[in-house]
Amino acid sequence: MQADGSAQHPPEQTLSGKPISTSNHSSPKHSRPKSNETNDEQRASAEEDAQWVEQAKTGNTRAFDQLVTKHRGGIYAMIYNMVKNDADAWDLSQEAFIKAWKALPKFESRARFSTWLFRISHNVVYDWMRKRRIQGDGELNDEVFDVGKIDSSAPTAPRQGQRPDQVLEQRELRQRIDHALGELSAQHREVIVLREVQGLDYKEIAEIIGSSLGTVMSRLYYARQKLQQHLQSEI
Amino acid sequence: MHGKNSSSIFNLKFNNSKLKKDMERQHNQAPDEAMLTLWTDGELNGDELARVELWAQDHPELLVERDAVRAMQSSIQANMPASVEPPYADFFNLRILRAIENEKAESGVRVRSTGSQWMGSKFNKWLALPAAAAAMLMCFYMGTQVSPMPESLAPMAAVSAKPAIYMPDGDVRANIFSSDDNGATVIVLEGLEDIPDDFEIVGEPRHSGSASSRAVMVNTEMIF
Repeated sequence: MQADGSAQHPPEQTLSGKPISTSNHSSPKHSRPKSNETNDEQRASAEEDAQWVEQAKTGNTRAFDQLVTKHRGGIYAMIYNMVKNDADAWDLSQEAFIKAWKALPKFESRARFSTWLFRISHNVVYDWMRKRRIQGDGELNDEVFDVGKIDSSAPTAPRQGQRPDQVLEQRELRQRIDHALGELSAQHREVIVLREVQGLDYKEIAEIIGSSLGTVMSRLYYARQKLQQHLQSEI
Repeated sequence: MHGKNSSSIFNLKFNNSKLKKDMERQHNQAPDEAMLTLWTDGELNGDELARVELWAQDHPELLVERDAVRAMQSSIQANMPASVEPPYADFFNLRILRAIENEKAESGVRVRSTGSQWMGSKFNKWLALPAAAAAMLMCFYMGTQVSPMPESLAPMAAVSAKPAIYMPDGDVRANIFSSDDNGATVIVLEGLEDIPDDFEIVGEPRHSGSASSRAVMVNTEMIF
Protein backbone atom coordinates (compact mmCIF):
# COMPACT_ATOMS: atom_id res chain seq x y z
CA MET A 1 0.00 0.00 0.00
CA GLN A 2 1.17 3.49 -0.64
CA ALA A 3 2.16 5.86 2.09
CA ASP A 4 -1.16 7.68 1.99
CA GLY A 5 -3.02 4.40 2.22
CA SER A 6 -4.49 4.78 -1.21
CA ALA A 7 -4.62 1.95 -3.67
CA GLN A 8 -1.71 1.64 -5.99
CA HIS A 9 -2.56 1.99 -9.62
CA PRO A 10 -2.17 -1.03 -11.83
CA PRO A 11 0.87 -1.31 -14.05
CA GLU A 12 0.41 1.02 -16.92
CA GLN A 13 1.85 1.21 -20.34
CA THR A 14 3.78 4.14 -21.54
CA LEU A 15 2.64 5.82 -24.69
CA SER A 16 5.25 3.84 -26.59
CA GLY A 17 3.54 0.65 -25.55
CA LYS A 18 6.26 -0.35 -23.14
CA PRO A 19 4.93 -0.97 -19.69
CA ILE A 20 5.91 0.83 -16.57
CA SER A 21 6.75 -2.42 -14.97
CA THR A 22 5.91 -3.10 -11.37
CA SER A 23 7.55 -6.47 -11.26
CA ASN A 24 10.68 -6.71 -9.22
CA HIS A 25 14.03 -8.30 -9.83
CA SER A 26 16.28 -8.76 -6.88
CA SER A 27 19.07 -10.45 -8.80
CA PRO A 28 20.61 -8.24 -11.44
CA LYS A 29 22.67 -11.14 -12.76
CA HIS A 30 21.00 -13.10 -15.52
CA SER A 31 18.12 -10.67 -15.62
CA ARG A 32 17.06 -8.28 -18.28
CA PRO A 33 16.85 -5.05 -16.31
CA LYS A 34 13.76 -2.99 -16.78
CA SER A 35 14.88 0.35 -18.06
CA ASN A 36 12.90 2.43 -15.64
CA GLU A 37 13.16 0.31 -12.52
CA THR A 38 15.95 0.76 -10.01
CA ASN A 39 17.03 -1.73 -7.40
CA ASP A 40 15.47 0.45 -4.70
CA GLU A 41 12.17 0.40 -6.53
CA GLN A 42 12.37 -3.35 -6.87
CA ARG A 43 13.05 -3.74 -3.18
CA ALA A 44 10.23 -1.38 -2.26
CA SER A 45 7.88 -3.26 -4.54
CA ALA A 46 8.81 -6.60 -2.99
CA GLU A 47 8.32 -5.19 0.51
CA GLU A 48 4.95 -3.82 -0.50
CA ASP A 49 3.96 -7.25 -1.81
CA ALA A 50 5.12 -8.88 1.41
CA GLN A 51 2.94 -6.55 3.48
CA TRP A 52 -0.13 -7.19 1.39
CA VAL A 53 0.53 -10.92 1.41
CA GLU A 54 0.71 -10.96 5.20
CA GLN A 55 -2.58 -9.07 5.43
CA ALA A 56 -4.20 -11.26 2.81
CA LYS A 57 -3.13 -14.35 4.72
CA THR A 58 -5.30 -13.20 7.61
CA GLY A 59 -8.29 -13.15 5.28
CA ASN A 60 -8.06 -9.52 4.27
CA THR A 61 -9.58 -9.52 0.79
CA ARG A 62 -8.89 -5.82 0.35
CA ALA A 63 -5.15 -6.50 0.61
CA PHE A 64 -5.46 -9.32 -1.88
CA ASP A 65 -7.34 -7.00 -4.19
CA GLN A 66 -4.32 -4.70 -4.11
CA LEU A 67 -2.10 -7.59 -5.12
CA VAL A 68 -4.45 -8.47 -7.97
CA THR A 69 -4.47 -4.89 -9.18
CA LYS A 70 -0.70 -4.70 -9.08
CA HIS A 71 0.08 -7.99 -10.79
CA ARG A 72 -2.87 -8.54 -13.10
CA GLY A 73 -1.14 -6.80 -16.03
CA GLY A 74 1.91 -9.06 -15.91
CA ILE A 75 -0.07 -12.24 -15.39
CA TYR A 76 -2.57 -11.39 -18.11
CA ALA A 77 0.23 -10.54 -20.58
CA MET A 78 2.09 -13.76 -19.80
CA ILE A 79 -1.01 -15.92 -20.16
CA TYR A 80 -2.18 -14.08 -23.26
CA ASN A 81 1.17 -14.68 -24.91
CA MET A 82 0.82 -18.37 -24.12
CA VAL A 83 -2.79 -18.97 -25.16
CA LYS A 84 -3.08 -16.20 -27.78
CA ASN A 85 -6.71 -15.52 -27.00
CA ASP A 86 -8.18 -12.60 -25.06
CA ALA A 87 -11.17 -14.37 -23.54
CA ASP A 88 -9.24 -17.44 -22.44
CA ALA A 89 -6.43 -15.28 -21.08
CA TRP A 90 -8.99 -13.29 -19.07
CA ASP A 91 -10.54 -16.42 -17.55
CA LEU A 92 -7.24 -18.15 -16.91
CA SER A 93 -5.74 -15.07 -15.27
CA GLN A 94 -8.70 -14.99 -12.89
CA GLU A 95 -8.29 -18.67 -12.20
CA ALA A 96 -4.63 -18.10 -11.38
CA PHE A 97 -5.47 -15.38 -8.85
CA ILE A 98 -8.21 -17.44 -7.26
CA LYS A 99 -5.83 -20.39 -6.93
CA ALA A 100 -3.26 -18.04 -5.47
CA TRP A 101 -5.77 -16.95 -2.84
CA LYS A 102 -6.52 -20.53 -1.91
CA ALA A 103 -2.83 -21.42 -1.73
CA LEU A 104 -1.82 -18.24 0.07
CA PRO A 105 -1.47 -19.92 3.50
CA LYS A 106 1.20 -22.17 1.97
CA PHE A 107 3.13 -19.31 0.41
CA GLU A 108 6.47 -18.76 2.05
CA SER A 109 8.28 -15.54 1.43
CA ARG A 110 11.42 -17.30 0.24
CA ALA A 111 10.27 -16.71 -3.32
CA ARG A 112 9.02 -13.41 -4.58
CA PHE A 113 5.25 -13.15 -4.81
CA SER A 114 5.40 -12.34 -8.54
CA THR A 115 7.50 -15.47 -9.24
CA TRP A 116 5.06 -17.55 -7.24
CA LEU A 117 2.15 -16.08 -9.21
CA PHE A 118 3.89 -16.88 -12.49
CA ARG A 119 4.39 -20.42 -11.25
CA ILE A 120 0.66 -20.76 -10.54
CA SER A 121 -0.14 -19.22 -13.94
CA HIS A 122 2.20 -21.73 -15.58
CA ASN A 123 0.25 -24.58 -13.96
CA VAL A 124 -3.10 -23.06 -14.90
CA VAL A 125 -2.05 -22.66 -18.54
CA TYR A 126 -0.63 -26.17 -18.80
CA ASP A 127 -3.73 -27.68 -17.17
CA TRP A 128 -5.86 -25.80 -19.64
CA MET A 129 -3.73 -26.98 -22.58
CA ARG A 130 -3.93 -30.54 -21.34
CA LYS A 131 -7.72 -30.35 -21.14
CA ARG A 132 -7.90 -28.88 -24.62
CA ARG A 133 -5.69 -31.65 -25.89
CA ILE A 134 -7.92 -34.28 -24.28
CA GLN A 135 -11.04 -32.66 -25.71
CA GLY A 136 -9.38 -32.70 -29.12
CA ASP A 137 -8.85 -36.47 -28.97
CA GLY A 138 -5.17 -36.25 -28.40
CA GLU A 139 -4.55 -33.49 -30.88
CA LEU A 140 -3.78 -29.98 -29.85
CA ASN A 141 -6.64 -27.75 -30.89
CA ASP A 142 -5.32 -25.63 -33.72
CA GLU A 143 -7.69 -22.83 -32.82
CA VAL A 144 -5.76 -22.27 -29.64
CA PHE A 145 -2.71 -21.23 -31.55
CA ASP A 146 -4.30 -19.80 -34.64
CA VAL A 147 -2.57 -16.50 -34.28
CA GLY A 148 -3.86 -15.40 -37.66
CA LYS A 149 -7.19 -14.73 -35.98
CA ILE A 150 -5.70 -12.45 -33.41
CA ASP A 151 -5.40 -8.75 -33.66
CA SER A 152 -1.83 -8.75 -32.47
CA SER A 153 -1.56 -5.04 -32.16
CA ALA A 154 -4.61 -4.61 -29.97
CA PRO A 155 -3.01 -4.61 -26.54
CA THR A 156 -0.28 -2.20 -27.49
CA ALA A 157 -0.96 1.48 -27.21
CA PRO A 158 0.53 3.37 -30.15
CA ARG A 159 3.21 5.91 -29.53
CA GLN A 160 1.82 9.36 -29.30
CA GLY A 161 2.67 11.37 -32.35
CA GLN A 162 3.79 8.39 -34.39
CA ARG A 163 3.31 8.70 -38.09
CA PRO A 164 0.73 6.31 -39.53
CA ASP A 165 3.40 4.42 -41.45
CA GLN A 166 5.37 3.95 -38.23
CA VAL A 167 2.29 2.70 -36.46
CA LEU A 168 1.65 0.31 -39.31
CA GLU A 169 5.23 -0.86 -39.31
CA GLN A 170 5.15 -1.46 -35.58
CA ARG A 171 1.87 -3.30 -35.89
CA GLU A 172 3.20 -5.54 -38.63
CA LEU A 173 6.33 -6.29 -36.65
CA ARG A 174 4.28 -7.14 -33.61
CA GLN A 175 2.12 -9.36 -35.74
CA ARG A 176 5.14 -11.15 -37.13
CA ILE A 177 6.58 -11.74 -33.68
CA ASP A 178 3.22 -12.95 -32.43
CA HIS A 179 2.88 -15.30 -35.35
CA ALA A 180 6.41 -16.64 -34.96
CA LEU A 181 5.82 -17.15 -31.22
CA GLY A 182 2.67 -19.07 -32.04
CA GLU A 183 4.71 -21.43 -34.19
CA LEU A 184 6.86 -22.46 -31.25
CA SER A 185 6.07 -25.33 -28.94
CA ALA A 186 4.48 -24.35 -25.64
CA GLN A 187 7.71 -25.02 -23.77
CA HIS A 188 9.81 -22.90 -26.11
CA ARG A 189 7.21 -20.15 -26.21
CA GLU A 190 7.07 -20.03 -22.43
CA VAL A 191 10.79 -19.52 -21.90
CA ILE A 192 10.83 -16.81 -24.57
CA VAL A 193 7.88 -15.04 -22.97
CA LEU A 194 9.30 -15.28 -19.47
CA ARG A 195 12.79 -14.23 -20.48
CA GLU A 196 12.39 -11.76 -23.32
CA VAL A 197 8.97 -10.29 -22.54
CA GLN A 198 8.77 -10.54 -18.77
CA GLY A 199 12.50 -10.02 -18.30
CA LEU A 200 12.88 -12.69 -15.62
CA ASP A 201 16.22 -14.17 -14.69
CA TYR A 202 17.12 -17.82 -15.32
CA LYS A 203 16.62 -18.81 -11.70
CA GLU A 204 13.12 -17.39 -11.60
CA ILE A 205 12.23 -19.09 -14.86
CA ALA A 206 13.56 -22.37 -13.48
CA GLU A 207 11.33 -21.97 -10.40
CA ILE A 208 8.32 -21.15 -12.53
CA ILE A 209 8.58 -24.01 -14.98
CA GLY A 210 9.98 -26.44 -12.44
CA SER A 211 13.23 -27.21 -14.26
CA SER A 212 16.93 -26.88 -13.63
CA LEU A 213 18.96 -23.83 -14.58
CA GLY A 214 20.74 -25.83 -17.26
CA THR A 215 17.46 -26.90 -18.80
CA VAL A 216 16.24 -23.30 -18.87
CA MET A 217 19.36 -22.04 -20.62
CA SER A 218 19.46 -24.92 -23.05
CA ARG A 219 15.76 -24.57 -23.85
CA LEU A 220 16.20 -20.85 -24.29
CA TYR A 221 19.01 -21.46 -26.75
CA TYR A 222 16.92 -23.68 -28.99
CA ALA A 223 13.80 -21.55 -28.57
CA ARG A 224 15.70 -18.50 -29.79
CA GLN A 225 17.03 -20.41 -32.76
CA LYS A 226 13.55 -21.60 -33.70
CA LEU A 227 12.04 -18.17 -33.24
CA GLN A 228 14.77 -16.69 -35.36
CA GLN A 229 14.06 -19.19 -38.12
CA HIS A 230 10.32 -18.48 -38.01
CA LEU A 231 10.89 -14.74 -38.10
CA GLN A 232 13.27 -15.03 -41.05
CA SER A 233 10.90 -17.26 -42.97
CA GLU A 234 8.24 -14.57 -42.76
CA ILE A 235 10.33 -11.87 -44.35
CA MET B 1 72.56 -15.54 -42.04
CA HIS B 2 69.42 -13.92 -43.07
CA GLY B 3 67.96 -17.23 -44.10
CA LYS B 4 68.86 -18.83 -40.79
CA ASN B 5 67.35 -15.96 -38.80
CA SER B 6 64.25 -16.11 -40.86
CA SER B 7 64.05 -19.80 -40.25
CA SER B 8 64.43 -19.31 -36.48
CA ILE B 9 61.78 -16.65 -36.42
CA PHE B 10 59.55 -18.89 -38.50
CA ASN B 11 60.16 -21.77 -36.11
CA LEU B 12 59.46 -19.55 -33.12
CA LYS B 13 56.27 -18.28 -34.67
CA PHE B 14 55.31 -21.79 -35.65
CA ASN B 15 56.00 -23.08 -32.14
CA ASN B 16 54.06 -20.22 -30.58
CA SER B 17 51.21 -20.85 -32.92
CA LYS B 18 51.32 -24.56 -32.19
CA LEU B 19 51.44 -23.92 -28.47
CA LYS B 20 48.53 -21.54 -28.76
CA LYS B 21 46.53 -24.07 -30.71
CA ASP B 22 47.35 -26.75 -28.17
CA MET B 23 46.16 -24.47 -25.44
CA GLU B 24 43.05 -23.70 -27.42
CA ARG B 25 42.43 -27.38 -27.93
CA GLN B 26 42.76 -27.97 -24.22
CA HIS B 27 40.80 -24.99 -23.02
CA ASN B 28 38.61 -24.05 -25.90
CA GLN B 29 36.23 -26.92 -26.26
CA ALA B 30 32.93 -26.28 -27.95
CA PRO B 31 30.71 -24.38 -25.55
CA ASP B 32 27.40 -26.02 -24.80
CA GLU B 33 23.98 -24.43 -25.30
CA ALA B 34 23.81 -23.11 -21.77
CA MET B 35 27.17 -21.40 -22.15
CA LEU B 36 26.15 -19.91 -25.49
CA THR B 37 22.94 -18.57 -23.96
CA LEU B 38 24.92 -16.88 -21.21
CA TRP B 39 27.30 -15.50 -23.80
CA THR B 40 24.46 -14.14 -25.94
CA ASP B 41 22.92 -12.48 -22.90
CA GLY B 42 26.24 -10.92 -21.93
CA GLU B 43 26.34 -12.83 -18.66
CA LEU B 44 29.82 -14.32 -19.01
CA ASN B 45 33.05 -12.91 -17.70
CA GLY B 46 36.60 -13.95 -16.91
CA ASP B 47 37.89 -17.26 -18.22
CA GLU B 48 34.50 -18.44 -19.41
CA LEU B 49 34.05 -15.37 -21.55
CA ALA B 50 37.59 -15.68 -22.96
CA ARG B 51 37.03 -19.32 -23.87
CA VAL B 52 33.80 -18.66 -25.71
CA GLU B 53 35.22 -15.59 -27.46
CA LEU B 54 38.19 -17.64 -28.59
CA TRP B 55 35.91 -20.32 -29.91
CA ALA B 56 33.78 -17.76 -31.70
CA GLN B 57 36.85 -16.43 -33.53
CA ASP B 58 37.08 -19.74 -35.35
CA HIS B 59 33.33 -19.93 -35.76
CA PRO B 60 32.17 -16.59 -37.12
CA GLU B 61 28.67 -17.96 -37.62
CA LEU B 62 28.30 -17.80 -33.85
CA LEU B 63 28.92 -14.07 -33.88
CA VAL B 64 26.32 -13.62 -36.61
CA GLU B 65 23.86 -15.74 -34.66
CA ARG B 66 24.50 -13.84 -31.46
CA ASP B 67 23.93 -10.49 -33.15
CA ALA B 68 20.74 -11.75 -34.76
CA VAL B 69 19.39 -13.03 -31.45
CA ARG B 70 20.23 -9.74 -29.77
CA ALA B 71 18.42 -7.82 -32.50
CA MET B 72 15.45 -10.12 -32.07
CA GLN B 73 15.49 -9.55 -28.32
CA SER B 74 15.41 -5.79 -28.84
CA SER B 75 12.56 -6.16 -31.26
CA ILE B 76 10.55 -8.31 -28.87
CA GLN B 77 11.20 -5.99 -25.96
CA ALA B 78 10.12 -3.00 -28.01
CA ASN B 79 6.92 -4.57 -29.28
CA MET B 80 5.71 -7.00 -26.65
CA PRO B 81 4.63 -5.29 -23.44
CA ALA B 82 5.40 -7.14 -20.23
CA SER B 83 2.22 -5.83 -18.69
CA VAL B 84 -1.16 -5.50 -20.35
CA GLU B 85 -4.22 -4.51 -18.45
CA PRO B 86 -6.97 -7.11 -18.87
CA PRO B 87 -10.14 -5.81 -20.48
CA TYR B 88 -12.71 -4.52 -17.96
CA ALA B 89 -10.08 -4.49 -15.24
CA ASP B 90 -12.49 -3.46 -12.47
CA PHE B 91 -14.84 -6.28 -13.34
CA PHE B 92 -11.82 -8.58 -13.47
CA ASN B 93 -11.06 -7.78 -9.81
CA LEU B 94 -14.69 -7.89 -8.82
CA ARG B 95 -15.15 -11.42 -10.14
CA ILE B 96 -12.09 -12.62 -8.30
CA LEU B 97 -13.29 -11.07 -5.05
CA ARG B 98 -16.72 -12.60 -5.53
CA ALA B 99 -15.18 -16.03 -6.08
CA ILE B 100 -13.06 -15.56 -2.96
CA GLU B 101 -16.07 -14.55 -0.87
CA ASN B 102 -17.94 -17.62 -2.09
CA GLU B 103 -14.92 -19.73 -1.28
CA LYS B 104 -14.74 -18.26 2.22
CA ALA B 105 -18.44 -18.90 2.78
CA GLU B 106 -18.15 -22.49 1.55
CA SER B 107 -15.09 -23.20 3.65
CA GLY B 108 -16.94 -21.80 6.68
CA VAL B 109 -19.78 -24.23 6.06
CA ARG B 110 -17.30 -27.05 5.60
CA VAL B 111 -15.59 -26.23 8.90
CA ARG B 112 -18.90 -26.13 10.75
CA SER B 113 -20.04 -29.39 9.26
CA THR B 114 -16.80 -31.24 9.81
CA GLY B 115 -17.86 -32.43 13.26
CA SER B 116 -21.28 -33.56 12.17
CA GLN B 117 -19.77 -35.26 9.13
CA TRP B 118 -17.46 -37.19 11.38
CA MET B 119 -20.33 -38.13 13.57
CA GLY B 120 -22.37 -38.90 10.50
CA SER B 121 -19.78 -41.23 9.07
CA LYS B 122 -19.49 -43.09 12.38
CA PHE B 123 -23.24 -43.12 12.68
CA ASN B 124 -23.58 -44.50 9.17
CA LYS B 125 -21.06 -47.19 9.85
CA TRP B 126 -22.27 -48.55 13.16
CA LEU B 127 -25.73 -47.33 13.92
CA ALA B 128 -27.54 -47.06 10.61
CA LEU B 129 -29.43 -50.37 10.76
CA PRO B 130 -30.41 -50.25 14.47
CA ALA B 131 -31.50 -46.62 14.07
CA ALA B 132 -33.64 -47.44 11.06
CA ALA B 133 -35.29 -50.27 12.93
CA ALA B 134 -35.92 -48.04 15.95
CA ALA B 135 -37.44 -45.34 13.75
CA MET B 136 -39.79 -47.83 12.15
CA LEU B 137 -40.91 -49.09 15.55
CA MET B 138 -41.47 -45.54 16.74
CA CYS B 139 -43.59 -44.73 13.69
CA PHE B 140 -45.63 -47.87 14.17
CA TYR B 141 -46.21 -47.05 17.83
CA MET B 142 -47.27 -43.47 17.08
CA GLY B 143 -49.60 -44.70 14.38
CA THR B 144 -51.38 -46.90 16.90
CA GLN B 145 -51.66 -44.09 19.45
CA VAL B 146 -52.95 -41.24 17.29
CA SER B 147 -56.67 -41.25 16.59
CA PRO B 148 -57.96 -40.22 13.22
CA MET B 149 -58.24 -36.48 13.25
CA PRO B 150 -60.54 -34.55 10.94
CA GLU B 151 -58.92 -32.03 8.75
CA SER B 152 -58.75 -28.81 10.56
CA LEU B 153 -57.21 -25.53 9.74
CA ALA B 154 -55.30 -24.77 12.89
CA PRO B 155 -52.64 -27.53 12.80
CA MET B 156 -51.88 -26.78 9.19
CA ALA B 157 -51.53 -23.12 9.81
CA ALA B 158 -49.33 -23.69 12.81
CA VAL B 159 -46.72 -25.64 10.88
CA SER B 160 -46.92 -23.92 7.58
CA ALA B 161 -44.68 -21.00 6.81
CA LYS B 162 -46.96 -19.96 4.00
CA PRO B 163 -50.54 -18.88 4.60
CA ALA B 164 -53.00 -21.74 4.29
CA ILE B 165 -56.42 -21.25 2.78
CA TYR B 166 -59.48 -23.21 3.68
CA MET B 167 -61.65 -24.03 0.69
CA PRO B 168 -64.98 -25.74 1.30
CA ASP B 169 -65.08 -26.95 -2.30
CA GLY B 170 -62.31 -29.48 -2.88
CA ASP B 171 -62.31 -28.90 -6.64
CA VAL B 172 -61.28 -25.32 -6.25
CA ARG B 173 -57.62 -24.52 -5.81
CA ALA B 174 -56.41 -21.30 -4.32
CA ASN B 175 -53.09 -19.51 -4.45
CA ILE B 176 -52.33 -16.62 -2.24
CA PHE B 177 -49.89 -13.85 -2.93
CA SER B 178 -49.22 -11.44 -0.16
CA SER B 179 -46.92 -8.53 0.45
CA ASP B 180 -46.42 -7.56 4.06
CA ASP B 181 -44.60 -4.40 3.06
CA ASN B 182 -47.47 -3.15 0.98
CA GLY B 183 -50.19 -4.67 3.13
CA ALA B 184 -51.67 -6.36 0.08
CA THR B 185 -52.94 -9.89 -0.40
CA VAL B 186 -54.12 -11.38 -3.68
CA ILE B 187 -55.87 -14.70 -3.81
CA VAL B 188 -56.26 -16.52 -7.10
CA LEU B 189 -58.96 -19.15 -7.30
CA GLU B 190 -58.88 -21.82 -9.95
CA GLY B 191 -61.57 -24.37 -10.74
CA LEU B 192 -64.58 -22.20 -10.08
CA GLU B 193 -67.64 -22.71 -12.20
CA ASP B 194 -68.38 -20.08 -14.77
CA ILE B 195 -69.99 -17.15 -13.12
CA PRO B 196 -72.75 -15.20 -14.84
CA ASP B 197 -71.89 -11.62 -15.58
CA ASP B 198 -74.72 -10.36 -13.42
CA PHE B 199 -73.32 -12.05 -10.33
CA GLU B 200 -71.36 -9.89 -7.97
CA ILE B 201 -68.79 -11.50 -5.80
CA VAL B 202 -67.73 -10.01 -2.54
CA GLY B 203 -64.97 -11.55 -0.54
CA GLU B 204 -62.61 -10.67 2.20
CA PRO B 205 -59.89 -12.59 3.96
CA ARG B 206 -60.56 -13.40 7.56
CA HIS B 207 -57.44 -13.81 9.59
CA SER B 208 -57.49 -15.88 12.68
CA GLY B 209 -56.98 -14.12 15.96
CA SER B 210 -53.62 -15.66 16.75
CA ALA B 211 -50.65 -13.64 15.67
CA SER B 212 -48.62 -16.74 14.99
CA SER B 213 -51.29 -18.27 12.87
CA ARG B 214 -50.96 -17.66 9.16
CA ALA B 215 -54.39 -19.09 8.35
CA VAL B 216 -56.67 -17.13 6.05
CA MET B 217 -60.26 -17.99 5.38
CA VAL B 218 -61.97 -16.66 2.30
CA ASN B 219 -65.61 -15.93 2.69
CA THR B 220 -67.33 -15.68 -0.61
CA GLU B 221 -70.94 -14.77 -1.13
CA MET B 222 -72.90 -14.35 -4.21
CA ILE B 223 -75.09 -11.34 -4.31
CA PHE B 224 -77.99 -11.25 -6.70
